[in-house]
Amino acid sequence: MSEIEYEPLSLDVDRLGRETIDAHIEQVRRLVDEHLSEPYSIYVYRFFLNNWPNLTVMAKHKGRVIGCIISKVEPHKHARIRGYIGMLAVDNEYRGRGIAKELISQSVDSMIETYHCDEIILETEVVNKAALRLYENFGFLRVKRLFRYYLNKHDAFRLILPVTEKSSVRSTFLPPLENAPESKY
Amino acid sequence: MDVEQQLSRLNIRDYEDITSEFFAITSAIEYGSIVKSQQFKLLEGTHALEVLNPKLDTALLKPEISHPAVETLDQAAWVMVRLLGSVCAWLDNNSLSVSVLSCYFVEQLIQRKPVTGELVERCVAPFVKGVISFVSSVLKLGVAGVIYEEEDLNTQTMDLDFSVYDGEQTVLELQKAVKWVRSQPESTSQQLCVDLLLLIEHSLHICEITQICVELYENRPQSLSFADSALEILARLAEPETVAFAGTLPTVACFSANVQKTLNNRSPPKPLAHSSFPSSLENFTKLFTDFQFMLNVLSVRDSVELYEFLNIFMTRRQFTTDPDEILGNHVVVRALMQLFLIRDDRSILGSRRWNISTLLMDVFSKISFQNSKLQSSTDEELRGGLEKLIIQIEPAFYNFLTSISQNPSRQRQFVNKELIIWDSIQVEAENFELESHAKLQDTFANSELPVMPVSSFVYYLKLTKMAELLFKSIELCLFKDCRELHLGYWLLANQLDYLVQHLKRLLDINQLRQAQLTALSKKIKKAKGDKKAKLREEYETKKQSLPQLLKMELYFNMQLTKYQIHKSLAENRATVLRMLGKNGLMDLPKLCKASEETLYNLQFKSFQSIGVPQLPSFRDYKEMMKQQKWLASQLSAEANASYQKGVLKQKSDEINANIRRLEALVAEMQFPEFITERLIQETKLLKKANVATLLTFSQALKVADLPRSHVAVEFEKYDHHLYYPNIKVAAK
Repeated sequence: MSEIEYEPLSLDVDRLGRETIDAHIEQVRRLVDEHLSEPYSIYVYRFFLNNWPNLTVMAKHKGRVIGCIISKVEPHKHARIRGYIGMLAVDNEYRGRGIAKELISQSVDSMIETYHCDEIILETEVVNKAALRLYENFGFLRVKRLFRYYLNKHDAFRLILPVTEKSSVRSTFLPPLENAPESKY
Repeated sequence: MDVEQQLSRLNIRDYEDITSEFFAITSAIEYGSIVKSQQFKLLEGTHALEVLNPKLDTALLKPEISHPAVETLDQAAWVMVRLLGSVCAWLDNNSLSVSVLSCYFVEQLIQRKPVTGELVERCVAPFVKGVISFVSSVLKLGVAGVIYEEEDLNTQTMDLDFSVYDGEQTVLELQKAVKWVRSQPESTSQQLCVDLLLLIEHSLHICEITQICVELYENRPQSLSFADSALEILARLAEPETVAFAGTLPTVACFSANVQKTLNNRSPPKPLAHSSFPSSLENFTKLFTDFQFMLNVLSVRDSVELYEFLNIFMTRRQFTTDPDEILGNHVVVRALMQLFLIRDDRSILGSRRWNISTLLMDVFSKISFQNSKLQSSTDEELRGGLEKLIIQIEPAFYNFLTSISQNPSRQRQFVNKELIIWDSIQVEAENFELESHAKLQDTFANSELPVMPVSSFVYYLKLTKMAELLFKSIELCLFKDCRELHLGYWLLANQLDYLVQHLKRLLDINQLRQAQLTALSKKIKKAKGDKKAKLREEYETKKQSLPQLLKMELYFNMQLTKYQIHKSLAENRATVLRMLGKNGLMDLPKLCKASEETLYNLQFKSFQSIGVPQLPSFRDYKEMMKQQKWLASQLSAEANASYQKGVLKQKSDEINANIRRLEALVAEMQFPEFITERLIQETKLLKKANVATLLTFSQALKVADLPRSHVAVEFEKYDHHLYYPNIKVAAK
């Protein structure tokens, strides 16, 4: 099988053209709709993709999007910069090839290097052992258990990857952020 | 009505088609830009439903055909069994729209629309009305603000009024229905219908408990025979023949997703949810069993017993074979307990004498305040200062009283929140007591050391909460592997050491007050005249507290022994996990993008801001790890296996001796049976945890020379102590 290519989503019409961008968004949406149980409206995609296009990383095989990770970065309680991994999906036939691992790695690096995150968080079901193993291999810690968080009545874990010292201080005891980045939309 | 039908109803001639104009205007919008009001963020739009998206638009649901004809008792029984399953699905966190309201008869009757047919009118309708009334009473609990919307219970009603039927009238209708069904020819369906009607009738009485006011500690158990009766019915229904029979009943097409489309719905389309008959019976059995356990609160005799009972209620769990499930008390009972215990007027159980403030003062008094000089001081400034502190303590105490009703995950968050409050009060309490020391001179015998009853109380509760936070982190599986679990047990042992020391201090305070009473009695003998009379008066007042002081001495000894056991168990576990570190099982994962220090700090984030006892720094932790001596210097990494095992065995024997001592102390406390029973059950699990540690140690020795990739470690929870999962080690 030929190489898998990874690239962040771009909304640059001059560079990519409208058709390519639309196709990318459509393929990302298809992947997520197909593989994740939670239903997401177009607003959810627009919220993530238009505000932080570079934090949607796509894995492509022969030009087709076969995996993606969708993240965002926002201030948390005006005290720290928090990255959030919202969705991760890989087509069944491409699983077991380390694609999810690479997507997480690139997304996390981007959140740390470009956005200077203090921490990165996500939630995952307690029964989803594969996802837990995947994230925990990067150093994500279980900081909270969320009772019946998902529609299928399972509990979830909130996982955090601490990046700076701020992540281990209660926000009450942190000074307010200066020039906190805000989402565009 | 579907989209087509809705459109056909519109008189299209009254409207002007602006489609082309609309698209002409929108074509001017730059590609990729988002047009939205400045009033809100796009984030708010993420909660919106999307028209024409099949996963989000309920208008796209296809109407299902309903044939709700009920012509036989078999069919009536099926409807009732299925509706009971819908109720349980709702209690199990599904929305009403996919559960109870999916029943045609519920949809009709809640809107006071007619249902027809003799069997429906005489049997099914009373049952349905009973279900509506039951849901109505549970909804009232759900919106009372003591449990969490969606997390614990979904209270969205599709704008329907569930209180449409009068409770008492419904009970009468249910009784009438029972009578009518009993008059029918005998059959298995007949008995099933009767039992289901009676079960719903009994369920209607559960929520009435919040209307009852009782005096705390007067040991007046309420006559609530309906709960016993309900449990008898449930046992009968759970008999294999009945369950098997229920599985053969003919279905009736009266459950559908139609309501999601026709009524006011804020949720995306979802499949219908209902529990199987056996699961429904389990759910209701748990409801009534937990309800009965809750009522034990009426039998406690003082604040110590109440405090113990509330802790027991809070940590009550149902063992489940699913390792990913943690089951606390039934959601209805959790909400009920809160509303039953603390009333709107802040009274406890509706008592005229006991409220949150008086209960707090009683607990405080028993722990460290009784017969203190601050208690008898008439100094205005001191009394004012004390009052201010009590006002600050109350929210922390209230937090505890409300945490008992939370689900297991929320309980930890409540404890976490409480920690900050106790920590800030401790600083203030210490400042106040150090400043007032000059006036009071309340010191230990032959010592200049001030007793500081307020700070002692605050510090005691803070230390217990610190340990509780770690205990709950273990229970909730927040420590995922050997490295993290080792950290957890290591810090736990560390914190319990402070708690054990402080309990010794509380015992010292208790003994000081007892000694002061004896000294006062001797002083009376020597005194004369007015002074003698005054001293006698003081003695008589203080003497009344003697039985309480003696009981508290016993209680502190019990607590001391309990926490010593936990400390030793935590130490042993940490030691065994450290041994596994030699196999590389405590190494960080290869892809880890965080340093061990940041992980350490995040893991113990809750303790970072605590002043005393201060969290050991990461450097302290690493220093400890470098030392080759473990378990209070008795064990070293180089020691041979049999020596290591011998040391651990010795520790284990000490734990067993303490467990025996704890059992004796529990017996001596003469708690009510429901407390004693639970404490003894706890000691059994502690014994098991002790033995399990030795076993893990032996397993660890067997794989000592294997690399990490060849060793499998599993944490087993089923039938083990909540805070000591079995650590199973084996070669892969």
